Amino acid sequence: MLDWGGNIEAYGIKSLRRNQPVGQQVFFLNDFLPLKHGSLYFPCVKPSAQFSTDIHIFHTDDGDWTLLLDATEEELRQKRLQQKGNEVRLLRKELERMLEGVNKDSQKDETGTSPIIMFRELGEFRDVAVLFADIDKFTTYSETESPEVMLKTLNYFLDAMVRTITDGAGVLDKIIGDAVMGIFGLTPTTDTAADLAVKAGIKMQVNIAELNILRRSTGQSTFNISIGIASGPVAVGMIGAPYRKTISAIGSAVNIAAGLQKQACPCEILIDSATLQNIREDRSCFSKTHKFTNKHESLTAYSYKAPL
Amino acid sequence: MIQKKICLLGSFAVGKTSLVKRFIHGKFSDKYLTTIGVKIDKKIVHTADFTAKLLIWDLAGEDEFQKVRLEYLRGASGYLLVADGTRRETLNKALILKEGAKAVIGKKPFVLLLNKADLDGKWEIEPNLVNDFVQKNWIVMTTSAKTGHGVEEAFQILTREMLERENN
Ligand SMILES: Nc1nc2c(ncn2[C@@H]2O[C@H](COP(=O)(O)OP(=O)(O)OP(=O)(O)O)[C@@H](O)[C@H]2O)c(=O)[nH]1
Ligand SMILES: [Mg+2]
Repeated sequence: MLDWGGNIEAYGIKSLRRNQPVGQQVFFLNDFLPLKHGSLYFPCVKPSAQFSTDIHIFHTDDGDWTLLLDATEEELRQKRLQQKGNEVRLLRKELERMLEGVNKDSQKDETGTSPIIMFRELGEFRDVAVLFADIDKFTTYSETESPEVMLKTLNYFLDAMVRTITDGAGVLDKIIGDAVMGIFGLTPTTDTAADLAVKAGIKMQVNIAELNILRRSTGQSTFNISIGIASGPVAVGMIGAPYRKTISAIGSAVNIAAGLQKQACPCEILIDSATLQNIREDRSCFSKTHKFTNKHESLTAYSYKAPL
Repeated sequence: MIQKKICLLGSFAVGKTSLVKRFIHGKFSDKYLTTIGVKIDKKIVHTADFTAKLLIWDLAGEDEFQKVRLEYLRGASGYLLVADGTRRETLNKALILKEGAKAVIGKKPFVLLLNKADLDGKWEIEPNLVNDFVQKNWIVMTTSAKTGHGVEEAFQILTREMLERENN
């Protein structure tokens, strides 16, 4: 450092002396020297509030070299990105918390405002739309891939699906393997439950299509999803341990939605007639299709096919 | 005076920087300012039994896109493993980071902190889980950087553990 110079005082290093252990003179290098082989790189170290430095240390036959580079600019640049990213993730968590009603104090929250979702913990009937979405051929894929790769892929797709539900004012009921179940109509909105669910379903197909384009461009495997939506009164309530409560919905709309999803082709959305009737927006994108049986009962299903 | 390097490890926004700020300056702010890289602070800890100078390395939190650079841990005698009691997933992250730390500095004393204890209405960590850790002889504490609850103690206990290990 003495021989090469540079503005070492800007790094808080004063009166360096030769033949004295560097760790005693530059405290933040103490644990890194001597280096016996290889190299070390520590970005954005702030030994005091005044400056930020990148530390490079590398070993040569002549001994260890230490290079300090001003990282003030780099820190500011990274801060902008990381701050935004982390804040968004915290917000999302907060939103999920509100929607899932995990907050056990939500009924009497300190600000005195009423929680977003209100129903008696013991359960009550609500008119909702239930959405099931399943990743096509994922089971086959999971058998050919290592668990690590498989889980990573699964998370990508589930994340896109779950986000579409929560972003569309739905509540995630559960994730079952490679399928998700969402409930719409529990939060106060001006849209009908059917409108919300159908909009989310279509958005989900779009999001997955976009994700596939991205993955295809980097040579990763792609998947399509099939969706079933049904509407009607269901019993909703909270179940689980006091620390981990989740919403649970029980009713024939749940079974019908699951059944419709099973019959839907990849990229398709199948809805029941109750859902169709409750759509206030454009229904023309749905066409009447085959009969669909649910527990010996014959029902009509309506289909939407996502453009490929 | 004996000098020890310690690190704060944990997921993003669990309160690592806030704990250091509470410990050193006795202050707290609700505003979140994420840490880039690592910030180093110093403080002398006094108890009836010992005095030691701590070099406190407050590392950036881990998120989905950025792994914590565990090489920063080199030379550390112990660490505070921090989770946010209102975000269950940060506990899992803490456990993963603990394994990573072991790979770099070997088995070293640590204290697991479940921070944000003042937000008990949002608490997501079951007492059962904590019992499991206690069974393993881990030191687990709830802390609040906001109220100061447990903060001083956490640093003191870690220091005591590090010094005891050295004497044995
Ligand atoms: N209520 C409450 N909030 C806290 C507590 N500790 C930290 N916070 C808040 O949590 C947010 C994150 O705190 P930080 O100390 O910056 O967290 P960090 O772990 O250093 O975050 P990164 O540097 O991004 O990894 C801030 O808004 C703090 O005000 C606490 O004990 N109680
Ligand atoms: Mg921080």
